[in-house]
Amino acid sequence: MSITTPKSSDQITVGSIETMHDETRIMVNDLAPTNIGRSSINTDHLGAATLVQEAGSQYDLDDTVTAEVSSYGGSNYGLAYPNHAALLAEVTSWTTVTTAAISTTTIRNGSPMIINFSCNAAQFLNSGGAVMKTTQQFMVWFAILIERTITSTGAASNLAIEEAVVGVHLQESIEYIEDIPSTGSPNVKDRIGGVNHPVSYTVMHETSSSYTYGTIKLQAAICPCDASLVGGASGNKFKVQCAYLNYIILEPGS
Amino acid sequence: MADIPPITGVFTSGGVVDAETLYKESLFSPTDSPNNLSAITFEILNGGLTSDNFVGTGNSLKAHQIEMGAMAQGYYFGFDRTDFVYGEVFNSTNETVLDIVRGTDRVIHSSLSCSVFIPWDTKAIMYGYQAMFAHDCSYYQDYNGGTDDHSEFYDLEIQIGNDLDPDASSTAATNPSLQLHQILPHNRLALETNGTVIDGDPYSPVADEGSFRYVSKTGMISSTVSKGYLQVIVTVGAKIMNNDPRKSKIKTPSGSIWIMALR
Repeated sequence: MSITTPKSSDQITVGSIETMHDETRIMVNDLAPTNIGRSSINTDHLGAATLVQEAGSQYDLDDTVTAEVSSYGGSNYGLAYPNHAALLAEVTSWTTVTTAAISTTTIRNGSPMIINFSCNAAQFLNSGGAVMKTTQQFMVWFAILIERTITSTGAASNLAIEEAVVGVHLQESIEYIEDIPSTGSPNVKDRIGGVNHPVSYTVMHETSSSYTYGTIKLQAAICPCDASLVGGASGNKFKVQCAYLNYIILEPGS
Repeated sequence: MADIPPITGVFTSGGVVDAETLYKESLFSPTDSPNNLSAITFEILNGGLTSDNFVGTGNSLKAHQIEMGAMAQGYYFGFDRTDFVYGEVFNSTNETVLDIVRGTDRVIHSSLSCSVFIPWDTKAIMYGYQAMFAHDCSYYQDYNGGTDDHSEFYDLEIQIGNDLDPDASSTAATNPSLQLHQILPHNRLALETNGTVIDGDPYSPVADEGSFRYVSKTGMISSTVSKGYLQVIVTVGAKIMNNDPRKSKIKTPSGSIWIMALR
């Protein structure tokens, strides 16, 4: 849309001024998005407008993960799943470390939901709960589970975000060298404790208005990394400390 | 709503354009109150329009139409030269709070701290740090002639807010020192053979690189924070029992701290 201005050789008349005034005021009084230029809107115009629909966090300072990956006993030790349904069943059976509740029931369609978690994968524990000799033969898995229902029916339709499933190999070194004799191999001492692996990641989920969102859960399980350990649950556990789960739901794009 | 009226018929002196009438009726009328809605001029364009003037559907604008920083503002600082904190600066006292073992004598990490200005009230603030830590911590077996083992450690916490107390332990949103706590493990051995750990006892003085840790923490304040200055600090604590703590240190060869405020 443009304003009709007098040409340089024209005489400025009452009519031409009224025309310019009218064309401008009509545009301004009902301002179309196409007439708003780059960087035209700043905090003075935005009032109470927000970018964030909802944000929240939850934590668990000290927890013990007892769940073990269910494919322990099979030939595919470690985590293996053919489809989302199998992954969802697997992740759902794991230990819930912490749960963040989403209070906004009507999240707009297509909203970016950014989920972040961090924790300290602290120690290996034996079946009796004692700190055990560190080993390279285990890893821990973490996953984000979103609990939601289909709005129209109320039926559960939970989601395990596939890219949010991450395995962490917990220890790089399991022995200290005590001394080096003049002949033979170094004398070594088993390493006890001292795992303390920081774990963190961020994932994004695009919401759908077809669902009513309930909670976001951090799930975890222990898993063997060595074929010799396959064949049954070990009873081993690991301690998770300072698990912190947070999320933010932004306004959707147009 | 700012509704600029037409000026048809305001020029009455024989259809002649006069500057005073043009100015008062169309451009700027200094003698009329801004609240006089029947006398609005184009002066209203200086920030006087309201959302009622907008005729787009769904109150929707393109991102480029909003000034950068109007909806979100952030700060990032990264470094790649080594920062040192020596064990000697700590008094090695520690405590257990809600199952978290932490040093009670803490120092602010000079590279992982910042003060930022937030220009408007926020609806959420995301913040965090990432850094590689190369540290020296011993595991003392049969310490001091006894049967107890003792582990040295360094630990990291982060706080956000103002008038921060680096030593405080808390789970409050503005001081999540426990929620985002991270302990760095022992990575060398001291084995007692003579009643106490002395020179000549088995000792692995070189820290095991496999126990260096890359720490990444992200925090969230999901409630309103009023505009103004805001501090974010990472603090370091320790339990160092080394006979010569001057040799024990925590090095940070690279890292970054960041904050993002959203309205």
